[in-house]
Amino acid sequence: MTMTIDHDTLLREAFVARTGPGPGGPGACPAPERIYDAARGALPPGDVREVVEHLAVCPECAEAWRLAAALEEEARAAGEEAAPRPASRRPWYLQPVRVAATVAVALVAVAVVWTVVQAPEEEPVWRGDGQLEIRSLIPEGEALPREEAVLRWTPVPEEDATGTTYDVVMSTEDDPFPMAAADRLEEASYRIPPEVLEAVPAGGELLWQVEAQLADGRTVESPTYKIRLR
Amino acid sequence: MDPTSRTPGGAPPPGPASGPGVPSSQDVEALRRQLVAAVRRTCPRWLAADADDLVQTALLRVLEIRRKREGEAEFSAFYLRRAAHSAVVDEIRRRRRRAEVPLEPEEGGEPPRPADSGAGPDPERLSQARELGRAITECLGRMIRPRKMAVALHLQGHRIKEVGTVLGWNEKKAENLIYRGLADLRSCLEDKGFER
Repeated sequence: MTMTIDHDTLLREAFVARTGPGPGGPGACPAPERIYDAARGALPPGDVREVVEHLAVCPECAEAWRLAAALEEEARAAGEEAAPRPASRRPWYLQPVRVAATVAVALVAVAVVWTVVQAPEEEPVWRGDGQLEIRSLIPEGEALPREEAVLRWTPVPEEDATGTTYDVVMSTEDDPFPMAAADRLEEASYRIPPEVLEAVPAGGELLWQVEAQLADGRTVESPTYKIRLR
Repeated sequence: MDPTSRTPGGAPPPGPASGPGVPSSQDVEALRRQLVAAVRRTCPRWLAADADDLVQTALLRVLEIRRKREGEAEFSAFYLRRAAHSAVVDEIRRRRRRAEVPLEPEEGGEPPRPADSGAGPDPERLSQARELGRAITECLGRMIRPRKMAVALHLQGHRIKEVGTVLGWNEKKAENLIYRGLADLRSCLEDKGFER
């Protein structure tokens, strides 16, 4: 094969040249109106991400998105009004499914607190040069149970905590291509879903890394850590 | 197209619904021009060459629906644009399926060319781009979610800040995820035999 993949332009051309529906066929695609609303930012963030994740592997929907974005640009250039924002949703406490899910998560959190091994005190860590550092709070050599594999790390200082979120990436040494990730976590811990660990044999090792996104735009990246699974 | 007229200060004429928020024929014509421009910018050459006819067909469909719904909730310019986008997407997909040719060559013959290859200056480049495109799709399918979304929007042509805005991230996070996602993508493509 003679095509080189270093240049973004080439990758973009190839991405745009794709044709056909995505996996699952046309029936798995969101309606064009939904794609239009997502491209306009007129859907809630979670819904937008769902559409974007789909178009990554669906050429037809990717094209519908590009058409929507181009149409909105043309409309803006012609001085037309912006699309209306989505109607405000019912407050979360009035949404039965979300209330039930929130209660369930709270109960699981309480259960985890009762069963987790005593961890080192969780305090922010500073390097000698005054830069913030993120360190693992999992004792070295400890093997995590795969049913309750909880990653923990030092949080950012309290004065920076508001608006800070964490992203976690996990991989194995056999395949540096990340196998799982979680983003926009608000706590300095993450329980790895057991299904993610199915690919890791008993006694096998997992690599993980955290990045904190502070509200002021700073990011702090941890070293890559290695843990063993029982 | 059914013209819609407004009579400021007067009673609306009989026929199609009129009044505040109802697009005039000038609005519809403006939309037609915007759609044609958008199709020409985003669609393959063989479709873009037919943009006027494609958009006209789609708009007629939308206006027919509007005509049938006269008297219902107001049909704003935004709603018309949204409905027109949907109709154009459907029309593009319909024409594309109609233009699809069998990939297997006839006995003793050369494989027929894809519908748009004849209009392009470099069919071999197009063929290689399609092969790379399929590989990109496979690699994106394996990628972790945040990087997949960041790279998809980046390859769609969005700038870093736009990627962040669409996905609800700050610019630094968007940049990091695009950078790492592209690294993952290139690594995956290398495994598939594409050279750096």
